[in-house]
Amino acid sequence: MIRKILLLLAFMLTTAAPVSAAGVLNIDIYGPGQSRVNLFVAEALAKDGAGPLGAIPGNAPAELQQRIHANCAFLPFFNMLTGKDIVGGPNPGGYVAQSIDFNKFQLSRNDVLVTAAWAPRPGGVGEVELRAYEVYTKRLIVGKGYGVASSQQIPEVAARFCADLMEALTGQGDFFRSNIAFVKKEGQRKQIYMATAQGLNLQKITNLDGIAVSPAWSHDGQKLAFVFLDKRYHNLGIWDRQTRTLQKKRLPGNTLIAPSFTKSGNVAISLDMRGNPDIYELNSELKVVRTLEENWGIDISPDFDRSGEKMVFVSNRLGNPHVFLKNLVTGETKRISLTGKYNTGPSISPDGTQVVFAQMVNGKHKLFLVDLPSGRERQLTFGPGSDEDPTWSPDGYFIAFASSRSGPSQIYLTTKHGDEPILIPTGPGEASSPAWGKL
Amino acid sequence: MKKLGVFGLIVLVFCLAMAGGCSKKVSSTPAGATAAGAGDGSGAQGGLTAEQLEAQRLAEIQRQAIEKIGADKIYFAFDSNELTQESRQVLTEKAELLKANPALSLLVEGHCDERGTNEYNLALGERRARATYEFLVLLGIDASKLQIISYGEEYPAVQGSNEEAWAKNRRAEFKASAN
Repeated sequence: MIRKILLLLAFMLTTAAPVSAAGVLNIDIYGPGQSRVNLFVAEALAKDGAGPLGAIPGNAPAELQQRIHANCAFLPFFNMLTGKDIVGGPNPGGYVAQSIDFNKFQLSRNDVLVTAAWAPRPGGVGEVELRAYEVYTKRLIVGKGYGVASSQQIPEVAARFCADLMEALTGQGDFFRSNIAFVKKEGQRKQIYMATAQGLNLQKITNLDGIAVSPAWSHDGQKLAFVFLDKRYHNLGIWDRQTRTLQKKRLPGNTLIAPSFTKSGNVAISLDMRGNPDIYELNSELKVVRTLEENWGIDISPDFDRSGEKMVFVSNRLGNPHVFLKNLVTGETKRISLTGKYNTGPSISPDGTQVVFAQMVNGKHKLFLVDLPSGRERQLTFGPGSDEDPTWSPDGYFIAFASSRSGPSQIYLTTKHGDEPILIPTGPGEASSPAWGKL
Repeated sequence: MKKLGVFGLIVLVFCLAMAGGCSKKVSSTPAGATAAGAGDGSGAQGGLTAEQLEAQRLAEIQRQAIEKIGADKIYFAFDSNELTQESRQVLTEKAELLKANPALSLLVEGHCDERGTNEYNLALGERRARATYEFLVLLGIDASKLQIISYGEEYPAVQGSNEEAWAKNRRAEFKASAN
């Protein structure tokens, strides 16, 4: 909606090709490790000949600067500089390469500099040009112009610019184009909410008399499935994002656990209709059409890669809960959590190469990651508290999870490299079971 | 809160099942007592027939059975759905009560402590409720009278993060109702 209102000015600024192509500044977020670059978001300036910055209504320029800074702080490969880090003061002196005093930023070990230039706009907040420069080469990495009709659009402008900046540096900007559904506790009830990965645009999706658990997005981000426990029954809930309608349905058996979407858009879910929880696939009318995994024990928590070939799930067939991988083409199933005695909540990366799950270590859960090609397993998080329910971002770089590290459960963000977890603010109340979907 | 709600529902269902409402029963009890004392069972005395008195007596027995069945929970070890000897004894008593009150049906709730993860605990709660259900069927209870539900770790009986609280939360609860 906002996207439509926002007038993206013709790319009057040169949109640079990804830096990786030029081979100058390139952050390989998928490699074995990653470099960190020092980023500084400069205070806004008035566009040449546009009159004083004070003509821009409200606090829009400062708010946009703060939003871009806050957004970029979510990215572990940025080390955020503040004004006091800049030798000789933070004012860039200009907003285009010719007039920027790059020397002092270089002296301050600043790698990427973001500038903003505002001009008033009749009937709106203003027009802003945002640029990111590589300080060492003075090269423009990203340059975009936006018309801002109201101050409510500031977060959207910041997110779109940051998506472009991240994409230019890493080849991938979906972090700012995705959202996270999660469970929020409200008294004795639990409801489903959603927000952007930065905790913005918080929306309440359900208002049910009971407990809503285990949200999961369809691969296209248009449908959300969850389980709802009322006073007597388990129900499957399907929320349609386009129509904002909620469908609630009882299924065969007494117990419904952890729905997930297949590549084709069908729901896979555990049902106990044959006496214990097994994993079934439902068709578009929510009728059981296929058994995906059946065993004497518990089989729950399916998750699928983008190709639709691989399914990870939890089973206690060997005595304790462990993570298994099923090749849906060959039907072959194998255990992939190699250590520990309690491994649950797996999420497979969209490209199907890595699986993250929670392992109980000394009574608390920690995230572990298995690299499927090599079979290597390593611990990603180290507490304190419990880290549970990991979910991959659509770009396969970030991992969101629920953690009690600072008290009641909240949603945190780390990466496949195990970067220091960052809190995603979701307001008051316990938050758990994040599910990452496309915007 | 939830327990009160369910209990209230049970009382309501029970009252509706009776010929009269709750208020009538309460107001007519002294008269009924007098009538029972008369003991001839020949018809209307003090506003209640012998059939009504008998229904009242049975309803009281049923109410006590519902209360007794709901009173004792059974408990499980960590990540286990095995019934202990003590649990089997408790279930045997419940089975006797159910047999003596064939109008009752039973909801078995499976619960877990907070240590596991939510989804696995929903499965474990199902295993606990089902193990309980299967033992009751083995004792001769008609399966159509039984329903199970897993609540996982969503409704702890006791708050707290210590073994004492966890032990009380790894449980099955019982909600009997007449219908």
